[in-house]
Amino acid sequence: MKFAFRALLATLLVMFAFTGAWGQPTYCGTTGLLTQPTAQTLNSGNICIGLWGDYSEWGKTPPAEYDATIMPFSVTLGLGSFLEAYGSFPNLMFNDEETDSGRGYALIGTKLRLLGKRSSPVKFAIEGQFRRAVSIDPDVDGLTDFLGRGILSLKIRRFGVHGWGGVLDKEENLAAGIGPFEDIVGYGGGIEFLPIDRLRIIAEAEFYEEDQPIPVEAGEWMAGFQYHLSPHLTINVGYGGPLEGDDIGLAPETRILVGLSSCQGIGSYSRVQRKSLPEEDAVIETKKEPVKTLKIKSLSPLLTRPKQLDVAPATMPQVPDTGDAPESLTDPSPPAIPVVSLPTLLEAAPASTAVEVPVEEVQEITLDSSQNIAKSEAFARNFSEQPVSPLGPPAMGTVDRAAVDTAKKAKVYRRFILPEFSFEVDQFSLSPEGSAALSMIAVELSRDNKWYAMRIEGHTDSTGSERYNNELSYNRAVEYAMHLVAKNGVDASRVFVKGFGESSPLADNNTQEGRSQNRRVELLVLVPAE
Amino acid sequence: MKNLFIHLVILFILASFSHAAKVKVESASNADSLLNKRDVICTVEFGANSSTLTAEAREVLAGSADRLRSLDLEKKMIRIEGFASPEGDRERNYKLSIERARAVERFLRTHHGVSLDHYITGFGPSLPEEVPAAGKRVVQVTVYDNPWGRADIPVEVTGGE
Repeated sequence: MKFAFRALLATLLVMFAFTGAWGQPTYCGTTGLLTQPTAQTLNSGNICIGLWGDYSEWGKTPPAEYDATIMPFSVTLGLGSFLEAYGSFPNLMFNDEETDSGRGYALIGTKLRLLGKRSSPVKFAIEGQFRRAVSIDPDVDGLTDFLGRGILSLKIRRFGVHGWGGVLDKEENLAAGIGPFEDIVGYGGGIEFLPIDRLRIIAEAEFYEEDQPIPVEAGEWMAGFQYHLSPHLTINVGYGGPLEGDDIGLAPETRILVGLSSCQGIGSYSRVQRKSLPEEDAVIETKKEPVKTLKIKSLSPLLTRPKQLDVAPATMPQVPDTGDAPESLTDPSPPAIPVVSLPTLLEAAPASTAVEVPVEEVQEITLDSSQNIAKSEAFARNFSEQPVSPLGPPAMGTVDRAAVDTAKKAKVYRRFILPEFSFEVDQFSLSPEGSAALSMIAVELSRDNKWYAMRIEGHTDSTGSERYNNELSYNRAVEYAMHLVAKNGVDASRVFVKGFGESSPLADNNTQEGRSQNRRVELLVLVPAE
Repeated sequence: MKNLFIHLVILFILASFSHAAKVKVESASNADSLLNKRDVICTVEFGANSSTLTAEAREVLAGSADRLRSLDLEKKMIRIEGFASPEGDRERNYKLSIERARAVERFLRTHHGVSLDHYITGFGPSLPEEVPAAGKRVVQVTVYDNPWGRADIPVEVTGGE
């Protein structure tokens, strides 16, 4: 993090040292092709900001005085599960070089995903973008062009390809009686490849063809990578050149982009968590932590049946050994591997202190369904508080077979029943909001080494046959488990997946509202009881 | 000017790699005592890239069903654990491992009347050395001491809104 800050400072210093001259704008914009989008939209409630350095070199024709350095700034907002809005300003350095390096556009635009869910391989989106020219050239300054396009993208595992086509409507042409939507046709495409989770390698190309008033063609290419320094900080580096139009000053000979971007909300990759058991004293320490605001509802049989738990130390029934159980695992003393602490994990996570709970209390966390929880800020802010009395000793003493006391009884430490975890009738796919909330929980838990097991429990309403509902509830729970383990790096050995079928409703199955509440997944995070 | 930028780019790339190397070290982890009390009831093998139960697998599971049914679930917890071989895509392998565990769960529940009161999990291809099944195309039906201290089913409904 410190390094990133220093690097940013260095970039700023270097760039302010440049001065430049007047030149010809290009079509591809100031943040270049590195930000050329697929049909994916930013997750709801997330915000991304980027600060870029854009250096362009113009070769022989036009003359080298066109070389320029600018610092564009961009913001993207995820507005809904399929809608994003963005804007950018061409040059925070205010050195009037924006038209040299790239066209000095202040952008505002929105992208709407029409086809394909978040996890679908094929997606289609339409995008509308207003580009207001910011320039020292009075003929161009203040003119607003419009770009409308459709983007189709295909992504299979770690490889993606996308293409787009659209029209660019120039106000200066419109004023000259050309258009609308007749003057410039644009098209382009690119490929992306993710060799590791943190790294995205990109190659893009983009063309514009102008028929009137005179036929003109322009095209640029760029290749680069985006690397996650941390889940919330990405470094973007790109190198590009002309495909067409460099001889008439519509594409630079060389363009170098270096940018830092940060997305708040959910990181698009998460660190793999360590899976050591918490130290006992670490657990005790956390008892001093203040209780943050939480809204508690009494929903759980865990709270209503404490008597069941009050059991004397039990002798274990023998698990008989049979011939078909060759791989018995009872070694009580696994090799001790030194614990490596996770430093500065997700410093930027905004909701990181949202749900701190003292360990000795069994609590349930339920979010008010009227809120848009996917908005991470709201997620952090909108809990209200109500204390719950401790459950008493929820787990009983245990007789460990082995001399080493490794036996742990668990108690519920956190319980998540979020509105995002609910389902439509007969559905088990994870909603974008649910996926965002899951990632947030995973991030939260990875900061917090107290827990050691996670139960993921699927439930259905009472509609349909019991057998079918058993399957459906497993489908739901498995979907969540897959996401947590495969996408968020939760340790698989600590995950317990279970389908309850319709056996454990939260609310009355006779009402629509009740059934909707019953279609859910619950996440239970457990800590050792003693 | 250009040179300076190229130097900056190289600097960033180097920093990125050193960062990646650091993260690798972090993933070294302590053994999980959860797995220490693990008893394997039976092991079922699968074909490559398959989560379909073979006739042999059904026989093995049928032989274990009685014992699973007779377990005292107040004290013991059944966990059906799926594994996958390490070849191929990690995410795909994780999915395969949990699909295998599901197939075993489904078979035990629908054909042999084993109640819903058990857990499944998929380990994917990799796991610490303490689980010998890791990296093989198998499902193991295992029993742990019930860590929750209670049976989950039946459930009585109280509370709510």
